Amino acid sequence: MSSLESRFDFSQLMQMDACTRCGQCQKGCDAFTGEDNTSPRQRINLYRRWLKSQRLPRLLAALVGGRRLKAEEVESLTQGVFRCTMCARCRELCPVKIDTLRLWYSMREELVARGMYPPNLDKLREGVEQEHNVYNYPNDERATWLDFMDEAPEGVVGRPTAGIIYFVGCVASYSPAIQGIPQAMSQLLGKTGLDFTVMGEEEWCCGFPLISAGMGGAAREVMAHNLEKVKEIGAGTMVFTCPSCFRTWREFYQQHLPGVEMVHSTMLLERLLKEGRLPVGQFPHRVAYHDPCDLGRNSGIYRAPREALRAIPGLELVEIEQYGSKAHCCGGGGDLEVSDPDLSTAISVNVLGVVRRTGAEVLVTACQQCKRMFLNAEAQANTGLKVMDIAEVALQAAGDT
Amino acid sequence: MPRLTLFYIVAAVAGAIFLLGVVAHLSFWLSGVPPGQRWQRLRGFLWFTLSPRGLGLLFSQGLVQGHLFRESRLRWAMSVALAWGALELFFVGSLGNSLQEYGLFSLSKDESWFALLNDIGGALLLLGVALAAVRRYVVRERHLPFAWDDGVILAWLAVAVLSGFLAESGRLLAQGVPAGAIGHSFIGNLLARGLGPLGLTGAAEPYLWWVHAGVSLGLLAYLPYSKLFHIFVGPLSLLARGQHLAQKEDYVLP
Repeated sequence: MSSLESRFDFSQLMQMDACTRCGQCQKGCDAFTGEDNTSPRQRINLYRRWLKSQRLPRLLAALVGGRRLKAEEVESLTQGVFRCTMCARCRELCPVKIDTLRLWYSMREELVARGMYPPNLDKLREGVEQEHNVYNYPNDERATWLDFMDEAPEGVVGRPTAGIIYFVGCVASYSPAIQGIPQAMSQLLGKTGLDFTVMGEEEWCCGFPLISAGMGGAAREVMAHNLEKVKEIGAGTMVFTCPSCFRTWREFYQQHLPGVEMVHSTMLLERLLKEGRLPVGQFPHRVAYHDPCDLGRNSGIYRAPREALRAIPGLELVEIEQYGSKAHCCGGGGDLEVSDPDLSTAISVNVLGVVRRTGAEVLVTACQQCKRMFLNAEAQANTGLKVMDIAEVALQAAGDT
Repeated sequence: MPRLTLFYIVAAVAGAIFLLGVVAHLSFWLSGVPPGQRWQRLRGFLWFTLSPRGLGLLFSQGLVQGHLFRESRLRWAMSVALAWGALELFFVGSLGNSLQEYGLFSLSKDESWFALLNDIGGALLLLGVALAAVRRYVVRERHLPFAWDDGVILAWLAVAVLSGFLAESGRLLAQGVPAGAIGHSFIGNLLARGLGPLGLTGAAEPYLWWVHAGVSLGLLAYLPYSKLFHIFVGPLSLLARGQHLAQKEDYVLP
């Protein structure tokens, strides 16, 4: 079997044939621009034709819709596969439940194997391979966000053993605009007296951006390193403020770490607030909660963030027009920011407009990439919305006690 | 040549064309499985289909389509009308007739429950076609693509059902309407009563019967090569995803 044939399994190929062309995926796609190659439906149908022409005898392929694509069609299709946020909203809307997200992964893997992908993704790979983070910054600067804190918890970086590991993630470690998230989370953990550590330079990229780019093979080294370090520390719990890291650890690492509990910050906050272990004061604001794709749709965590927010006195939670499994994407997923930054920004600006209609003063999310996208969008759209992470809300409420 | 003999020859040809298409699709799906594991994969899929979870999925998502009901009542009505109508006409109407022709099942077309079910099946299918046509050509929902074969399939389905009703009315005119069956074969009866005075006689029945048989067998042969094949693959796809989730073989690194 060629490497090409191994990218799609039996169930995926069958699902491609099940597409009814109803267009529900396209209707709900935040990345659909009106161009054919941004339509999930078109992507499935064109890719299926292409695959059939490669896998079936010519006559048989022609009978069931297979055909060789022209060079310009292949180029457009390739662009389209990478002009997607991988948010999986299309999967939720599909009436025949096609697992579109798995299809997008397989398409990317296959195209990468053929050398057909946006050149910018190589920079991402180089960053992870060379410096072990997506920005290609020195990895020993991973915990510099602690230097900018007024009351930084002491001695939390690189402890040899700890009960809890707070895995910060590349984006919050290096993007100054959102370093408030790890700062807030570490303060909250400090307030509760939990025994935790951050891995500092021993924390390497979790591998998610490469898996998302179809370059999962290049993530093996960083994943093996992370696994080894976590085993060395011997923590019983890992906490994440990044839903993509959380999802990656649950899906790929968890099987090698039996007994280690993986929790997203929203799950921990819900628990701490309910148990009364976190001081909590007033947060008298109308708040709209944005479900991050990798926390909601792709990990099934919808209740915890809402319960945590409802546990804060004075906070009025309102839902965005489409929420939960149908929530919009912030535009920052699927490495879209790397392959098509304009489209990525346009999506976040659009979504901000939708959020504004709720009448909320604060847009709360639980993802560093979402927060970064919405902050950039707000700088452009100037809607007056304040963008915060749930950890920052909890910290502000805790400070009001 | 007797009518039924010729019909079975045409049906065999249509069935062979249908099977060729099914084999092509199956070959495509199995290209995702290493050659030595293909039978094992098919067996696994069959066992999952027959398991309580598989049958539950087929019932809730394939037959009742509750997920679609929650999304849109109009789309649900269209989809279940098409699916239930087609299922009834194929599995009860056509197969029932065949069993009766072979003498395997004692059944008359004027049997009240059989006549009623067949007319309801046809009416449902027509309703589904009408709803699909309204969405596509009257409301013109923006996300629905304009493809020539969509119109062909809808027209083909409508002609298959209407020709069936006409053939039934021709039969009733030729054989006389059994007193008890008036209320059961309600559309065939209505057509016979309406078209009789306009000149339709029982003599037209063989022609109407062949038109219906030809259109229906043609549709069967065309199915695997058309978008309509999703009526089979849709439920299979739901099962395939259900089996995948059951096995929890999520995103495996390349």
